[in-house]
Amino acid sequence: MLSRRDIFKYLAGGGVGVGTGLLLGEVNQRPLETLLSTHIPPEDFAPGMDTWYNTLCRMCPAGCGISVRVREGRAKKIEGNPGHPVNRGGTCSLGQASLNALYNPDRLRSPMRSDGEGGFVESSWDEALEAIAPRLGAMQSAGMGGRTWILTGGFLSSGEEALDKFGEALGANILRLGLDTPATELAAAKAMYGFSGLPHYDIGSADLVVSFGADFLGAWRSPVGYSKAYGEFRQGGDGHRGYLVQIEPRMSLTGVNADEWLPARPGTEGALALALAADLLGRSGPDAASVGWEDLPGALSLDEAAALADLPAERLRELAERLATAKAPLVLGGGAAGAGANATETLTCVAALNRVLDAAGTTVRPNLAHAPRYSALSEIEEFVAGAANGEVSLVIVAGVDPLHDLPDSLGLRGALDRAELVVALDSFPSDTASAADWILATDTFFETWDDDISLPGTGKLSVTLQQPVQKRLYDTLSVTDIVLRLAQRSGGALAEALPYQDAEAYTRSEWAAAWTNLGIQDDFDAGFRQVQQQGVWVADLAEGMADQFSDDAPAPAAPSGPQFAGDASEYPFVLHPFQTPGLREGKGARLPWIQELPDPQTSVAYGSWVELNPSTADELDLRDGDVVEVSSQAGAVNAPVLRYPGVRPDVIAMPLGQGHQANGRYAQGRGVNPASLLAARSDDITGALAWAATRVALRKTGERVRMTKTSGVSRTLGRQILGPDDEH
Amino acid sequence: MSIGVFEAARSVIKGLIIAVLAIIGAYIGHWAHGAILNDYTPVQPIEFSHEVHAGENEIPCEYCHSWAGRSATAGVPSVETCVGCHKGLTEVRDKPDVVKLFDYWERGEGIPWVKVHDTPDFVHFRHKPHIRGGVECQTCHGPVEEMARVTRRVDLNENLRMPWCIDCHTEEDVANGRDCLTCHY
Repeated sequence: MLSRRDIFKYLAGGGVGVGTGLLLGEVNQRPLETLLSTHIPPEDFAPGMDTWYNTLCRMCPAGCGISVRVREGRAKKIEGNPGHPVNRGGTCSLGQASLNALYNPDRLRSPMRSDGEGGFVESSWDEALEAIAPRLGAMQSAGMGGRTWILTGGFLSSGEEALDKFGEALGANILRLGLDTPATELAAAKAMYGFSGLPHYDIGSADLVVSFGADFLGAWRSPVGYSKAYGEFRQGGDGHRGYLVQIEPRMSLTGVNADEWLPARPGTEGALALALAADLLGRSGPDAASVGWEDLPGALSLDEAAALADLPAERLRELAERLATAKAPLVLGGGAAGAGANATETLTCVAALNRVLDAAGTTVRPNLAHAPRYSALSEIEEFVAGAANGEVSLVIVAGVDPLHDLPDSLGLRGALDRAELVVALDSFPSDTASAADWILATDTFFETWDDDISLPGTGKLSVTLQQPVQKRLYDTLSVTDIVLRLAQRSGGALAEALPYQDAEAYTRSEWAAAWTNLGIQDDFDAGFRQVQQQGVWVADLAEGMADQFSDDAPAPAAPSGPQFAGDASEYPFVLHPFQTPGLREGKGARLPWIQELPDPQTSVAYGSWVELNPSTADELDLRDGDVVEVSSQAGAVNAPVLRYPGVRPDVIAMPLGQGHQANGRYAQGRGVNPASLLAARSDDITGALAWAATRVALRKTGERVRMTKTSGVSRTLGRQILGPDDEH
Repeated sequence: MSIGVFEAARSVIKGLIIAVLAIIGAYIGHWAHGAILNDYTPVQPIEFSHEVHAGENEIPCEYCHSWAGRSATAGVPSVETCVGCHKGLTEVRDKPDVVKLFDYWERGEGIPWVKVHDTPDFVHFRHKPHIRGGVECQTCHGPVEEMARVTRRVDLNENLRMPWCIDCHTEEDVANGRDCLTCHY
């Protein structure tokens, strides 16, 4: 029997069911997607099909060739260009992550004008150029171009040459800035090989590599190219396995891969190299004869050198023996060894060792006799003093971030504050750009034209072409475009010096001029098209482009002893700043993939840390994660401790690259910047910044943090993984 | 006072009937959603008629969807392609949707068409081998030339689902046609 009440109940049940069904259908429905048609498609546009363009990676000065996969007019993936002589198909993490710069949400999308209160407002190119160009024209015609300073980096490219021409026509001063520059190495090559340029190190054909501080597998000069060569060095075609000795106070990625790691006292590398050279000279043999030196005055004996460097004398004698018997030895010097107060002397001794070993000319070879000139500390000081006296009207910062990368102790921030007008050319609101009056938003290297002469060297002349792989995403221009437009608007000598329409026309004309200079007879247009396809142009070095090494350099003097800013009693530790493969000096910090990437040795991601030898840490009662204050004469930062057995007890190591005050959401306020601790100390000979010559003190703050790292402990916890003697 | 077993069971049975009715209702509701309230015929930003273009005027599919035989995706024509013809077609220039087209053209924008056919992200469907293998566009897309507004071909949700793909791959004896990795990679 069905009551009226029951019928209502059943109907209600059914109704709720139907409603639920409808709702489920609606919820489970896939969201509608749109299919955006192109307006006018690019000529090579093919939806669903990829096109690969060969171009140049501009993330570091190594200048690797890359192939970019482009789909629907957007860059999607980066691979190494297999036909490029520097990287031979390889890429590094930083190159892979460079797409993060292109699509970064914090990229600048149009020129920005400072509102005078720390913020920026959007502007237009017309307004921006109009605010700057008339000043330039007036300064140029009044002969007051010297009141302009151009701050730039160290690429060897047509774009940099445009800046040079611009600066020259204006009469401006140019500062070439960078923390880790090859300035000391250039001076050493000049002194020992009589060569003006960076030599080519042929790691691949060596059978013994002794590296004084050069982390060539991690972040030194051209890690991708050297990693390829390292593969050949370890398992070359003739079946030999090269032997690698790494001499450095903190175990780098190269140190981890080495057969021997010798933690020499910082600053004693030159004395070590000279002692080894003297020992080899003392032995009879053909190698000793060819260098033309009787002996090396001032060189220590191996035992004395071992005592100075705090190394076991036995290990040093073994190393000398290895060097004496090696068929193709190669000695490298760089990193912190090339950045002390006695850096040029150190690297000169390293080069002398190469000469004694007869490596100079075999595994160390002439390269292109050309290299950018880096500004000495004294030139930076001149700029700062000029700004203090009100003699700086205009500062143009092109693609570098000196307020982050260089020590605060140089006083650059104050100088930029005092300059009348600061114009930054950058794709990001970097620390420096954020202190400017104007930020002219620049392209990423995926969107514009330029080129680069490979400096790490291939023993040949190789020039990589940078071409746009996609349209500009935003209202940006390249540095070259901005320089050309400023020159055109200013008129006069500036417009005459740079009469080009845009970066493409300029780059093509530079290449055409180079073809004429090199006496190439082929049709330029066809040749340039071929370069666009291959991404790189390689030729043998013509007469006069690579000076031969000269054999008549006198024997080097004994290097001066290690010197540091800060008294040892007050600041007991030597600060060893190092570059990680991803962050480098700081260019990687704005890229989220790089922030996420754990450091290869410590597995720490997203932050900064202070590496302490466990014995030192025990002495100071510090555990992993204890926050310490690291202080020097120049400043102080707070960061968590990481106990790392691969660092000398009297040295503390800190990664560079973090601690940005601006630079987008991924970089800003993350970690600390050890560059802010560095004293304004320079190399005694070149005047280059000695970034590894600062002493620091530690103070426990009592605070503790958990570090973001992917591994637990570095010990094997009694499992004897490293053999029966393993007590870790 | 006492309650008989039958009395007690009755209320349980009533509850069960309500539950069964609710479940049946849910099935009906879900079916009705698919049949009536579906998005198989979405409204497009421009009321473009395939009936007029492909049907009456007999423009071949690959004139506009020119990548079907060459790429994974057939592609939608660029605004330039549309305007290329319509510049000369002054007699329809004032139709509201043609006016919309020229608005997009003048603003320099693409047209955000709504996808009618879309495979999930874990399926890699490629047009090229199907077109080259002689499959008619209509086999999957239905008689588009008869549609004023394009609709997804729906036969009780059977179409464009994996069993349907496999049936055809089996019948036509497609090389590796039943291999998982042919479509799921």
